[in-house]
Amino acid sequence: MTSSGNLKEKTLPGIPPANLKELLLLFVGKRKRFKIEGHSMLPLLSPGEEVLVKPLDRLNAGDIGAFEHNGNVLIKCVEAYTEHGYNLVGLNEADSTNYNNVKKPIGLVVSKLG
Amino acid sequence: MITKVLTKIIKQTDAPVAFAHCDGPCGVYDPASARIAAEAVLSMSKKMEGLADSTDIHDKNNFARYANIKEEQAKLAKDEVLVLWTDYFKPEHLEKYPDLHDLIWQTTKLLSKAKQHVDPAVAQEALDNIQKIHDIFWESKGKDVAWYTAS
Repeated sequence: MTSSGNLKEKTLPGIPPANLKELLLLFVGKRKRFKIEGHSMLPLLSPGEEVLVKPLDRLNAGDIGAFEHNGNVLIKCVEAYTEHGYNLVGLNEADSTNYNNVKKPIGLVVSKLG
Repeated sequence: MITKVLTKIIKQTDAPVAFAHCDGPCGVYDPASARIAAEAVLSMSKKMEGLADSTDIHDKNNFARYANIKEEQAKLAKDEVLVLWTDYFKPEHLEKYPDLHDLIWQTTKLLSKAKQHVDPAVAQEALDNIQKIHDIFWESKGKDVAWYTAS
């Protein structure tokens, strides 16, 4: 089973600032918060920015998601989901290496914090 | 207004870091790392088997040391194979080498088994699989790199 999409042909959605509802969901544990390190998601996400992540078991091609990988958390764009896992790419081709067959999604990036 | 105040309060605490970069930006991958570790597992398995019946205290000490090395090197070999799998191999490689997924899976299972048991045959089988990964890896890069072992 494969779901994929050509990201270059897609318009990536913007990530809105966290509204009151998102902040309250963070307080009650329904959102996870991460600080971005690195440049691979420019221009959408800059180093030092913080994002809120909605926990989900399954993400789709084109989603910006958080993933567990080798003990770290990655923020990347889903290029495709295959039976072997997620193929992840950065948006900044000059400073990004792709990942294949990543198994563990944490969730979907839904908003930026402030 | 309340959103801004809440955001300021939240930002008083540090958020966990999420990496938006790679852990191997140089793109340097080589199955040799897995091969060396798997060779050590095979060597330690053989040495342990050779000391199985010894009651000499020095041999017992060496047996324990070999078990420790076998454990470490099997984990290292497994990690190296998984790094190739997650970071190097791409969907087009799977299309070209349809058995690749099963080969990687079986290799990591064998390396786990080599940790759990003292069985040179299992360690040799893991090493043989790593040779197959070596062949696929270098073919995918368009290079003719001969397989060799250090021992």
